[in-house]
Amino acid sequence: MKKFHVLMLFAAVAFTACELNEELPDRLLGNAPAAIGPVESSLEGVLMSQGQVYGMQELSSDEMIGPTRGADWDDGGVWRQFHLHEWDANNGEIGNGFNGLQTGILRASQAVFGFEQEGNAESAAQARVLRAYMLWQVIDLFGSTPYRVFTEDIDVLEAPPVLGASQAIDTVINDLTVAASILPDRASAGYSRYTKEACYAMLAKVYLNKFIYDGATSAPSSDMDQVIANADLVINSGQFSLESGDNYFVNNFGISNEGSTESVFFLENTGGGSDNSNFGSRNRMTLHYNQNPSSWNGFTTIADFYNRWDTTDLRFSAPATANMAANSGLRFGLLEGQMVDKDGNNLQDRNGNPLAFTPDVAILGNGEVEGVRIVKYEPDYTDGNTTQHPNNDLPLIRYADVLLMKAEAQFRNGSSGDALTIVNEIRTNRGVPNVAAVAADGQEILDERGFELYWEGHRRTDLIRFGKFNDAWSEKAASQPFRNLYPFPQDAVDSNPNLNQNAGY
Amino acid sequence: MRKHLLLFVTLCLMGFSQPILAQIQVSGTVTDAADGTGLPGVSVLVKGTTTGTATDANGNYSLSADPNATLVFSAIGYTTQEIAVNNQSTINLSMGEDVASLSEIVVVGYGEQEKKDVTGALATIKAEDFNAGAINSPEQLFQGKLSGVLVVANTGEPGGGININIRGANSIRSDNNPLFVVDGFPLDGRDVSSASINIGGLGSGSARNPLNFINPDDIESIDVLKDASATAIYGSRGANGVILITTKKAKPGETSFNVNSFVGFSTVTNEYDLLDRESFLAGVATTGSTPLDYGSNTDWQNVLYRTAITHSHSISMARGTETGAYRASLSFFSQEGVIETSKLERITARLNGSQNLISDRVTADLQLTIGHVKDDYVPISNDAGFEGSLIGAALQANPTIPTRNFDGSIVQRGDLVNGIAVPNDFNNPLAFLELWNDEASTTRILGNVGFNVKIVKGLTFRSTLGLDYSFSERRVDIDPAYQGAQQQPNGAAAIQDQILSSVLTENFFTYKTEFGQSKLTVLAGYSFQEFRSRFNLVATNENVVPGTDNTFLGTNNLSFGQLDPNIQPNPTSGNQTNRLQSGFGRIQYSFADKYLVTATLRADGSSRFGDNNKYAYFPSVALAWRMSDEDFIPDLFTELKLRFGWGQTGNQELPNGSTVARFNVDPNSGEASQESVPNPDLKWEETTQWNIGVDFAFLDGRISGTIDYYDKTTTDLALFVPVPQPAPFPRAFVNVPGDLINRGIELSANALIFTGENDGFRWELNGNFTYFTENVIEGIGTLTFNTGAINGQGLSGQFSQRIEDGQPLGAFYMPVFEGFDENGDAILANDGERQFVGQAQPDFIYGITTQFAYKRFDLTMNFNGVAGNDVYNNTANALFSKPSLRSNRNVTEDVVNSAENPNGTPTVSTQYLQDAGYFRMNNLTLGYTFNTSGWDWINRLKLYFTGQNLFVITDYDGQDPEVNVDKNLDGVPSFGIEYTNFPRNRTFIFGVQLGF
Repeated sequence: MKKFHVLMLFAAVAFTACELNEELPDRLLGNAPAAIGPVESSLEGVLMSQGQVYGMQELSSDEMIGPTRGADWDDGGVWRQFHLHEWDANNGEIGNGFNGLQTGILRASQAVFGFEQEGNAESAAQARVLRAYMLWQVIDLFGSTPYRVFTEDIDVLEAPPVLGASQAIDTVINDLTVAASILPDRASAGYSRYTKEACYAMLAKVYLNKFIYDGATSAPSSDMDQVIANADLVINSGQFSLESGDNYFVNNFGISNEGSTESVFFLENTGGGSDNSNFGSRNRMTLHYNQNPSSWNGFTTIADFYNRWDTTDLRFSAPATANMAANSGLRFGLLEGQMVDKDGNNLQDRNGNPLAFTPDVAILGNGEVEGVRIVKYEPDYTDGNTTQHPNNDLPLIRYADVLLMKAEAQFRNGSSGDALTIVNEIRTNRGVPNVAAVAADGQEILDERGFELYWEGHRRTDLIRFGKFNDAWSEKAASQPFRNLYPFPQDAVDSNPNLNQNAGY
Repeated sequence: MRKHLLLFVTLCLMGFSQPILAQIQVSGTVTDAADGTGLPGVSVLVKGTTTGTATDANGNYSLSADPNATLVFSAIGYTTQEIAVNNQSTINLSMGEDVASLSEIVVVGYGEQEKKDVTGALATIKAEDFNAGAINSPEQLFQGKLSGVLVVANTGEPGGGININIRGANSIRSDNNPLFVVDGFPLDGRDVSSASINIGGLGSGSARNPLNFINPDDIESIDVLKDASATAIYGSRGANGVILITTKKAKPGETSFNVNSFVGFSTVTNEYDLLDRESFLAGVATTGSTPLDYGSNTDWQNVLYRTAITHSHSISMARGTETGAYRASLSFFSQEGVIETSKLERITARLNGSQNLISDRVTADLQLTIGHVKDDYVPISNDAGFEGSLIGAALQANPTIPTRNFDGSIVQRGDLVNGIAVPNDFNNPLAFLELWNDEASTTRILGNVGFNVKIVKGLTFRSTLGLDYSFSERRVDIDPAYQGAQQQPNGAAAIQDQILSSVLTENFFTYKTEFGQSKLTVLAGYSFQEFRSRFNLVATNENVVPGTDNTFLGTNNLSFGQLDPNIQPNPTSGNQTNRLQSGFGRIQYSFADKYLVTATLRADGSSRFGDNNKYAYFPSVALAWRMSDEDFIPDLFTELKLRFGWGQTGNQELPNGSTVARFNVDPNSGEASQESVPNPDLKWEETTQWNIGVDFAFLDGRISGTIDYYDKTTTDLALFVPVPQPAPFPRAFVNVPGDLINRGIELSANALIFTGENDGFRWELNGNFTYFTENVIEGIGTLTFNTGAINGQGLSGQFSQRIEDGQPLGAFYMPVFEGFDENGDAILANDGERQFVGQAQPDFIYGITTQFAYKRFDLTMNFNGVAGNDVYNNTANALFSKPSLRSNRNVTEDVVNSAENPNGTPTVSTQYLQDAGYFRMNNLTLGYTFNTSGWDWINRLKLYFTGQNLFVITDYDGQDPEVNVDKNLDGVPSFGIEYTNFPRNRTFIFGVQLGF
């Protein structure tokens, strides 16, 4: 029986409990160090896609359209809805844009919290800049936002309260003010995203649009004074200037645009392997399959915008760089008419017809050639024609924008003459004749913003500020004012009882 | 694990001895009552001992036994007989067929039972009733043969994935496949091979079936535990039912050497009616577009398909002695797919052994399977865009394009043919076949050692240690010569390794006792299983050797390539472990063999559960009343048993790390980025099931059957729900209040119409029918999940199914198509509002098997079918439309005459949703067994012919109505969608079975 006892002893050992904690050696669990990279990634995600925040700001405006071509680009109407102002709360691009911004905001709050605990004030200030930019975008697009104050024991399964527009904008202004007090200026930091001047430019942007968020019909002069003051802080830094008109494309949007004297705030792309953004979509969303880069033949501009141009404008068209000429027949600017390959041979579409883009484009049922295409960003051919990860940095606020914001604030404060000076300063640089005056509705300023900033993600905000967003234009009827805000994604409303859907949806 | 090993060593070293009694030699012949021939393989046991032997090929046996002993003669399918020795030295016996199979042993969790004592709902299928033919995994053996069990082969790919639902789907998001237990070892349910490596942008594929490593010839029986009273002993893995696979073992006294071989030929069953050259050119012209005529007439489906050859050879040898039994087998199986270059090859070696170590006191047993599977894939993905993967490319390829240029090279984009450049979106299927190489090799080892110790009378202890280990390597090459939508500059190559292991130790006591009219069996045990998974992936491109004429070494030497995450995935790897620790117990009590009670309890702790819910408890109880033993039941009934069962089971198939905050690399910055929202409350889904059933047999068991009604409710649904923003990740796993309800009725019946006893003609008819009366989601509020992703040009982001309150799982949700208007645009009801229009899960499934035998011929036919379900034809939606024809892509003949607008936009609508009920002749086998009694060198010789998938009757227009391409959206599973998948085939097999 002795052996029997031995057996029972081993049985007892065998029955003892083992540890059941989660153990995943291929992941960090619990807490990770504060980091700025993931915050930048969130913002890159929503701005470098052809849809999401970029699509919401551009496709709904009078300078871009997402038409269908045969079966192509229908995608359940997700693109078409933007141009027609017929989107609803189930549009996936709106959902992804909202979620991307919100994730970025929480990551930024996490980083601010973490860096401040580490005593790393400068990194915390950088995170504040990104949070401010994304929070501003959320308010600009949706009008209010759910918001969490980050703490160590935050429970994100709990529904957070909602910040109204003015509360949220106060947070934005506070973040930018705090960051501006900590970050270096451009003179000492060089070509950097995180500078005092970037904060000032962003403050100008926020103050300029604040009256819209506050539901006012006109801009209070105190806000406009803030715009001018902050613009002046950028201008008077002496670190920025307009690139010469000939270099408008290559220096601002080229593959080597690092060091642009106009980029006040921007996103960095490093190109190639270490960069995972999909910025290549800027060219692919519009160019044809048979061009290089071989693309998706999607979005175009509309005839209204194309026909508005003085074709001598240096921003309308510019010759190819050597890099482009060696790989394709492309040039910068708006592309109309017969397209050629790098040897100058005429290209054909996939059915063997001439690949000649036409200004007119319908919302539905196009062939392959309708619509004028735009090359604003120089294609990167480093990896043949396949790269989705070009090296071009993405300017978010340029010096020309700062100048135009100042001009607009002066105009809104009644100083049309001062505004005209700035507008013509830019026009002279860009190789077009002066305009005679700024009309009472400020149309010349809005137009100039269109010529200067097209396809850079500003147009919807500008149209709303000038009260034109609900107008009719090509392939779009007049829309209801409630379209000035997007609906919160259905998931966001369903998961948060504090969040009321925007009126009209 | 060290302590568990020690236990084994101790057991091995233990010694016992026992006195030897005076014995006499007993011998005799056992014959079949039906035809008087000797019955081989009958087990002859001295009652109350493990001493025994088995009859040889001619039915002879010999053993030594106590003169007062009783011998027990048993064989599967025959009535067991007990005969007292009474000092006789010769005992001859004639055994009759046991039609009611009441004495049949069925395997239940952690033990076996006689069928008459079973209280739960379970189904058993023995080797002789398995589906025959070119079968590469165990699930196919019982497809269509068991009530309540729906087996869907997702596509026609050799070794492709198989979906099994037992009594309907219990879970919205988690796996609905049952737990497989092989000889007591619960398998890891994960895919052992990697699903696909997406280097070419072709999209994602599906892994092949992880059970392919098992040789179906090694399986003795399969027991399916269906109700919770039977599965609750498996606790948090029991909710989807449990399938117990028992492998063949040598019987005492058996000495055998068997060879089974067959060769088979398969062809595709159903090709699409595509336009040929002339009708294509005419068709394109009608769309207002210019036809592109490249001068040839190519049948692109013909380029893909072939007559595929399958051959299989397996050898087994077995020897049983009075103290031990060994069976070893080796099999080779090679199955070509009907698509050129696709193939599955398997070599499996298996060893089963048992040995009485110390007479009756300790028995050691060992099961070992080593399977090596080599898969040759073709580039077919589940979610290819408009250029299509292999099938899509072939179906839409312009039929005027030749396969090859005059110089013999494959025609690819940009080539000048007949003076016209081949368009950029052309993907030559031949280029896919010849220039893409995608293969996987997987080795899986399943080993289990167990010791049974008889401690005192009635009390035994069993301890097991097992390992399930798999190593799978997938290698994908894209040759630089490939030009097409997924073109890689200078080629690309990737290798992914995946290593899974699970280690199991189980220790349990079983105590059996009888007192008065009562019988009691008590089981108590502990189990610990650790699952580890590791993988690594490395991919390079520009793999050509400089200075050569584009010599491409591909995966054979990645160092000629470059790591370029611009195009390829970054090198990556993973390493995760999860654990399951459990205590379990069962009490079985019977009174007078008439009143039976079983109660079980399992406690499961899982590393996947949140800190606040680490342990789950799963109880069950079952009652049975063998009414046939009551006096008031007429003797007509050889069996009449009423069963009632109730129990709770769980589903713990949550992803690892769902309960904690997890950080992974942010690809842009290389910093740590949060990828999960922690939920420390997360726990298992719980399924409560009750079952009421009747087992019956009358006319001496010639008619028998089972009827069951079940009712299952799954609660605490673990769903990946939107987290209120802002959140570090948009979704989190949360147990949502709400129910998923399944109810149904099952009937299986068997009739032996002619016994064959008089005239040699035997006819047995078997049927099973399941009516799923209810499958509905209730109480999830406003939560909805879209799934059933639809792919194709202009269909990005589209879906076809929705999970919603009040709807069944797999409900189709789309606008109703009402025809075309005068412009040829689709008229959609209610302004194109989506509505619920059908379901992917059938209401009714059935199977019928009929077996005839006359003298030495036997003929078995098996039919199966489903009804009440729909399938969405994404293939037609994406490819077969006027706009597609207008773009010079091929379509089916009916498209040319349709009123559709060639400039229209594609829509997901009921235009492509069809009733997919079907009736299939699954299997026909005709065999002839030679009379070998006069041949001394051979015991058994059987020749047979099998036809598989001989015909299918259906209204569905696609390739085959049995299809389930993985079209999940954000991980929410889809059902019943066809999309350019591997087609199904028809197979004819010629085989021989030899026994020596």
